Amino acid sequence: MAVMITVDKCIGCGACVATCPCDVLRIDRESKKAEVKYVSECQVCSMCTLYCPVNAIAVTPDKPDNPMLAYG
Amino acid sequence: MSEKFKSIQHECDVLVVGGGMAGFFAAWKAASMKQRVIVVDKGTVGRSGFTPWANTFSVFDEALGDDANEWIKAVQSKGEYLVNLDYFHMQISDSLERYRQLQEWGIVDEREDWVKGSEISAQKYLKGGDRRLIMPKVLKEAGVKLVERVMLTELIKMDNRVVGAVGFHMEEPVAHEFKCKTLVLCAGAGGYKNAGYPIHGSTFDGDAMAYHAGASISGKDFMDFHFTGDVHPWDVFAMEEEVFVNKIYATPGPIMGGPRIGIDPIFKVAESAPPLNNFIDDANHEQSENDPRGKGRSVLPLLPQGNIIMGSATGLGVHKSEGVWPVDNRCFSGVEGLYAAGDALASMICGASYPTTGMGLSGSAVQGYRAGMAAAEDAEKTEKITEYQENFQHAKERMLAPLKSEKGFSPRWLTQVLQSIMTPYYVLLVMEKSRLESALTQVEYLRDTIANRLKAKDNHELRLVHEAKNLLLNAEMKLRACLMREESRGNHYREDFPLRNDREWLSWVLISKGEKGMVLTKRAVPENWRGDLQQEYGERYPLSFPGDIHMRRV
Repeated sequence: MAVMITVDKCIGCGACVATCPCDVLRIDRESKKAEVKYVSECQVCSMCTLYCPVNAIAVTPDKPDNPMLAYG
Repeated sequence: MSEKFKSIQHECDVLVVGGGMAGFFAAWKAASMKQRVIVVDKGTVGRSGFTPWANTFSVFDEALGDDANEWIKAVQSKGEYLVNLDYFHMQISDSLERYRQLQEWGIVDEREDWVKGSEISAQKYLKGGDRRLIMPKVLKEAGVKLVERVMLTELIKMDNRVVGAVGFHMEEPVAHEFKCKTLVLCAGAGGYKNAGYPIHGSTFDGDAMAYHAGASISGKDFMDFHFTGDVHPWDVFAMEEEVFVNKIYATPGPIMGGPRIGIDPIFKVAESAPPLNNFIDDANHEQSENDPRGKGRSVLPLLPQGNIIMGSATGLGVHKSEGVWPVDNRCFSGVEGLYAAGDALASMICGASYPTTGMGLSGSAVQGYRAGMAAAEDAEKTEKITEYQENFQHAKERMLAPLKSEKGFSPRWLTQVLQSIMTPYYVLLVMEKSRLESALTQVEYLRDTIANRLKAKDNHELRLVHEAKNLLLNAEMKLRACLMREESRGNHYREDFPLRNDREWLSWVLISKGEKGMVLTKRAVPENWRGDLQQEYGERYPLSFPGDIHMRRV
């Protein structure tokens, strides 16, 4: 996982959702907390960590690559 | 799913597409001329595209001893005589003024006292004045309306004039219709979303929309890229907070001599297997001690871990030398109502090769301002928008079609396949006819068989579908333009044509949409921009390609 949210810290402000240039994050409708919904699109730029006001996001320097398939 | 889509209508005088540095100035200038302005951005203004990562801004300043003729001579040499000097003159006349504006707003030149590793974290520090947050604030204060997280997919034309655009929201089931008098494309350039630089939001959307609207596109025959490390290729900034608080430094202009930025090792990959690490000796400007520009900035402030890999983030073109072809000096595309600026405009201020750091951001600021002014003047003369709802309806149906498909290929898969075709060094960096044709055959297959059978299960995937289609279109443009240019020049190296060919190729390649697909034409560089043709090869072209050594005196 390239991006991780510490749910206990998250205040659901949505700053990360607005920040991500690749539309990776969402606010979960039920929990009202940030969730990593589209990790495939994460470009590991870490901008979300900068704009989170409560340090609830961590980004790792790697992300898993999708397997190459005949079609998909 | 698409049946549930609501539509929201917006109306304005000038619609600006993209909220990076070019879009910022275009919108600000048009608003200052009393136009109603909207900026629409796929992400958020100030934090999308290339601009969040920029940290140099080239400034021409006579007070510091800059000489216009020296700049021109140097940029012509580095750009290998494909520089549009009309647009380059704008850099000379406008760049200092734009920089001073950015200084006034606090977008450049701040945060002198932030020290890496200090107790004040970057995050807390930025609360005081983050340039990425100042940009939208300045626009709102100027009366500009921001529509964010909305991706445009098509420009709307009426009577051969661009009169609007359609798009959709990233998350909500809402289609957005924009009616405007003029439109400025500032949607940046792009890459194939591979590791090496965090610009995956930039997918040549502007080029694709302009091409389909009838504009010509140029500069696809010159490649650029970024570097990364082989330990964590995704993490090009080595997770450093410093990159976020880096100020934007003023930098001087191009100078004569020196290697191309990073491209030389790539030409040698075939001869000498990696690692090839010798690339960081460019961009050190010779400056007098009194010249304050760029002081304190190392050439490359941050390096990723491990061996350096050049040629990552493929798909990039040379800044400012790729995009919508301007038919005049007012950033006008030739299609009524349509303007472009920044990396979406083939202003050719850098010609065939990037001459120096800082030209990218500075060029966007200068051209954004000019394009905003031209679009505002045009909008002032243009009558109120008439009704043409049908055109919007058809464009919306095309836009939302992938949401209706039950069967189809995934846009992620198409993007991955495209990466595997376009990324290896031997396709677009060390080029050769049969390899380019082989890649083109595959791209054509994807275009004919896959592109119109993509499915999206939600709005996020709908974005991926449109992005993948734009990447595919761009790949075809690049391959065709590179096949056509049968010579080597600047950031275009053909193993099978290793010499510059001044007789045939002091020309730009223009791509337009014909009835049966892409039409490529040559546009000759005006004679007075060709430099001294009597010069000996090695003097005229001080930078060598493998295979042109016999042309040089030892």
